[in-house]
Parts: sequence; C-alpha cells; structure tokens
Amino acid sequence: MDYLDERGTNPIQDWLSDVRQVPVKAKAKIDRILLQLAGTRLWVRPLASNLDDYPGIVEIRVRWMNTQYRILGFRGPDERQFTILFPALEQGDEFQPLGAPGIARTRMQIVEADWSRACEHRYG
Amino acid sequence: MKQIGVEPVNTVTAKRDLLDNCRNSEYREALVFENVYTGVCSQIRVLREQRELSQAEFGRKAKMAQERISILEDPNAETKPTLKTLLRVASAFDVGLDVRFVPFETVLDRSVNTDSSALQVPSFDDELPELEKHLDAVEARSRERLSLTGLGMEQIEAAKAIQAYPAEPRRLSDTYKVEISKFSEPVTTSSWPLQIVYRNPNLEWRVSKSLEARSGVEYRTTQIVEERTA
Repeated sequence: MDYLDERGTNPIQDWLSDVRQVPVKAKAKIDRILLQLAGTRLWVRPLASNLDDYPGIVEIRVRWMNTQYRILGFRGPDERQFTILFPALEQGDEFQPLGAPGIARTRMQIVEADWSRACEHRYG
Repeated sequence: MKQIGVEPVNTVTAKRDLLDNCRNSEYREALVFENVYTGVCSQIRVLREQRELSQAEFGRKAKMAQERISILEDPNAETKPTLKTLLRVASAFDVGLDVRFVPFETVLDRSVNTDSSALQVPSFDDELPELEKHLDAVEARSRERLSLTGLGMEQIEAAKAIQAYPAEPRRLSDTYKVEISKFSEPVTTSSWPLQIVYRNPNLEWRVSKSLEARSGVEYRTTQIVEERTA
C-alpha cells in the first residue's frame, strides 16, 4: 500500500516516478526488492528492520550505486498489509531528511485513523 | 525483527506494471540484473533456513567465512556472487544449479512470484526417493503401454511413421505407401496389426490417436516412396 496525502495524491508514486530522485535502474531494484519482501514471511536484516525509537515503523533498505534508500512504512492498516509512508535516504549514517522517521510516524497515525489515506502500491 | 506476513501481491497488476516499465530498455536490463541477484541472494537464505543452519554453520559446510555468507544473502551487497561461487554454494546445499537464458515472460513470472516457500529445494539425498519413485512410475507406464499395443518394436516404429504421414490433408481416395528408413524392406503391406496402407486420412487420424494413447510414443520421421491416386 502507499500513503495518500490529504489531497488524495500519492507522494510515494510521485517520488518513484521522478527519475532525478530515483533513476530508472534504482527503481527496478526497489520494485524487485519490494516484490521479494512481499513473498517473504519473515522480514529481517539486511533488507528490513524496525526503527527502535519509532515503534511500528519499519525501514526497507535498498542500496543502488552510492545511494542508500531507506523506505519507511508500517504493518497496516490491515494486519496483512504493509504501507509505504515515506521514502528517505541515508547520508552519513543519518536519515535524509533528518525528520523522516517522525514524518513516517505521523503518516502512520493518519492511515491508522483513516484507511482511505492508503491505496494499492503500483509498480508502474 | 518480528514476523510480518503481508498480503500476497496482486501478480496480475504487478506483472502488467513491470511489463509497462520493461518497454524502457534501461529498466528491462536492470530488472534482469536484479532478478538474478536479488533472487539468488534470497534463495540462498531460504535454503540455509530450510536446513536450519546458521550463517556460520553453513559457512563451515561451504568452506566460507560467516561474513561471506552474510554478503551472499544480501541483495544490497556490492560484491555479487560469481558463477563459481554459486556452484560452490549449490554443492554445499547439495542441490542443482540452472543457469540459462529465458524469455521475458519468465523474468516477469519470477519477479512477481516470490513466495519464499517456493524457493525451497531438497538436497539430493532428500530428493532421491521421490526421483526413484517417479522414474519407476514412468518406466512402468511405458512397459504397460508397449504390452497393451501387442506390437513388436519394429511394428511400433512402422506405426510411428504412419502416424506422421501425411502431414497435410489428402483426398479420401488417396493411397499412400510409406517407407521407414531404418528397415531394409519398404513396409507397404496391410498385414500388420495396424494398417500400413491408408485410403482415408480420417481413418488414419483415428487409428493414430488410438495408437498414441495406447503406446505413449511420440511419432515422427517417414519417407514417401510411392504416392498413387486410387
């Protein structure tokens, strides 16, 4: 699933389809890893891990060339769904932007309160 | 890390999306690359966990350091496994390794059908009883079919040739003679258990089908030595 903003637009798709932020080959890798995780029962490092300071937030790590993508999401709104909340990067061992986990947590609360704020993730 | 069972991907829409992306050759090339490496890294992990081995334990079997196993299982690692390494891993798991070029249909299928349980592979020793059972069943079926036809091997060979000929529809009144190249004498008589000389392609079709069902043999190769219109 993807988070939807208050206007109903999909910031996750917007990010994925912006080749300046996600080059075509990086997108192929992100797509493939998301699909791989969808078929995996146990999400473990190095592809996925919980954020200790942000309960419920899970990060998916995708490295392409010198860029480390840290895609934040959570398990929900339904218990068998995973919703991508915020696509962040890593710079010097820190989130870029720094407030990415906080944004993800806020978005998680929004989706939990209103399931219509998430839609099916598309790979196109 | 807690277990997260997410709902299965809608493989039809995912495949459609990937296909649309694949119209871009750069994406296509990258998907092939990721399919190989993400796929194989994930499968190494699945096979190791299937055998309930830690990375260190599997490393000892494969004569590799634990750190190297960790890298082999990480699709984000910069070092990608070579074919030689994969063969070594296959040997340590005692499984086969299949490297081949495939159509994009296969690439798309493997990209969206990622259920980790489908990646499990038994070791040779675990697979052996099933392999033997399967081959025994195939051999038994084959023997049964041969005996059901009541034909000798030469007759079956002749019948194969008959079934293969003619390739195109003929007139009902046509008569054909066929020769099976492996026989010294052309087989042209109708004294065999199955008719060799046909006058009716529809009849031939029925007989052929019947023979196929009973013998389970694939038919091919014939040569026309005489063709005559009745």
